[in-house]
Amino acid sequence: MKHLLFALSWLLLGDIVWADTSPLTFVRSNVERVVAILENPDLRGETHKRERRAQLERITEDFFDTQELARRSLGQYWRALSPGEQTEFAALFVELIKQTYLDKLDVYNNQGIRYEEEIMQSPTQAVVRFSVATDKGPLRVEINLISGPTGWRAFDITVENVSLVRNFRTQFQSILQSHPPQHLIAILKERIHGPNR
Amino acid sequence: MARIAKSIVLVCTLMLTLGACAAKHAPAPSSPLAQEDYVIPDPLEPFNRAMFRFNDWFITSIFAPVRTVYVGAFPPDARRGFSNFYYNLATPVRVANSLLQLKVDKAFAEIVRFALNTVFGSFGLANVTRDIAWLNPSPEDFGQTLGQAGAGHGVYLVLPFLGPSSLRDLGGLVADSVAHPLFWYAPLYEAAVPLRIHDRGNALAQYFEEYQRTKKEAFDPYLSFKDIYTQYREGLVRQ
Repeated sequence: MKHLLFALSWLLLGDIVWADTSPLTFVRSNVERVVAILENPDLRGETHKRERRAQLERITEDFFDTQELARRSLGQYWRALSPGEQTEFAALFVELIKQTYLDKLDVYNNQGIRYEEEIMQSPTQAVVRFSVATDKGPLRVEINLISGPTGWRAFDITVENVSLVRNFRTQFQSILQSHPPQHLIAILKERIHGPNR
Repeated sequence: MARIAKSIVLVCTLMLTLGACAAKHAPAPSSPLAQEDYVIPDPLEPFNRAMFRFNDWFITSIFAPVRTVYVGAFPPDARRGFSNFYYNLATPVRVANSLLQLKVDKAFAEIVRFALNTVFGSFGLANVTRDIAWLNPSPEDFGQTLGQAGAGHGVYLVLPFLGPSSLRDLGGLVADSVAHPLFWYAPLYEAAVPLRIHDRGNALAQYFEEYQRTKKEAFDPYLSFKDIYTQYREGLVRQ
């Protein structure tokens, strides 16, 4: 019983524990969680793809501030969406990120990760820089984080100077310049659920 | 004949460089969090989109089957070796641009890298400095030198076979070609064009899958590649 309560308190206090961690610790611990899944022999191969994917999806949901991620991917056009559309768009956008990028993690092959620095841009915003060793040389990665009630969460990933969110923003804004928000939402749905996904 | 060709290239470089310098400098976003993203002016968008479609057709219809044969003939280590060799060969260009930007530490790192890879890496075929962080500085070129000096991109350009660029970076590309050892080293002069084509083709073969994937994931591939180019180049200028 005591152990159960202890375990339960850890689960309930999970967010508070995250709130006390530094941005670098937050990024590092999540990267280590991902690496542990990818290196786990029980989760390797095509047969365990679904289970591996489910675990990676949970980390993605813990790692990102989905509302902030979605808001920044639209920039000034975020306000053009009704609250209902904003919620729908945020859920679809995170689904798109999962669908587009999680399978790419399967190419991970024990590449070394070197944590370089943590930059506090303000008390609530930070950047964590690290590099991943690849055959083509070190890949420079930056994670932008924001502090909220549940601690640090990521809202952008920049690889070799190219921000993921900004790249989406460029394309989404171009669509919203000539179409209503529902059109963008329909495109996202088609991309996620359509035959070409 | 070779001297005339060099003179023409030098004049073109000067013209393009001055053109880029004269262009109004558009400020880059002050931080990666900025919502007002810098966009390279694109008054030639219809032409650029047509050129993007042409390059894509070339890559997927002409280059792809050639790549299949090439990749089958040369294993990844050999292709990486070519890539290392060409990168090593272009060291003088990066050293000159580092010095022009007063980045003496980068110039020094490039020289040490060149010496080690030339001597211990079979004339640069092997990259023996790969895991030494300070010996892998971000590359400097003349487009970045112009950017550091305050020159804006001018206008966005999609070049046939070469892909995304800008007026400033096209000037830089021509200037760097002039500074490249292949341009001046007489025994290799005749081989310069085939070697440069092989360099580009080898690089494209290496990044072919990334190109196809990025295109597939984009909602507007033209805009996506333009933005990737803009961000990448602005990032290099800042470094």
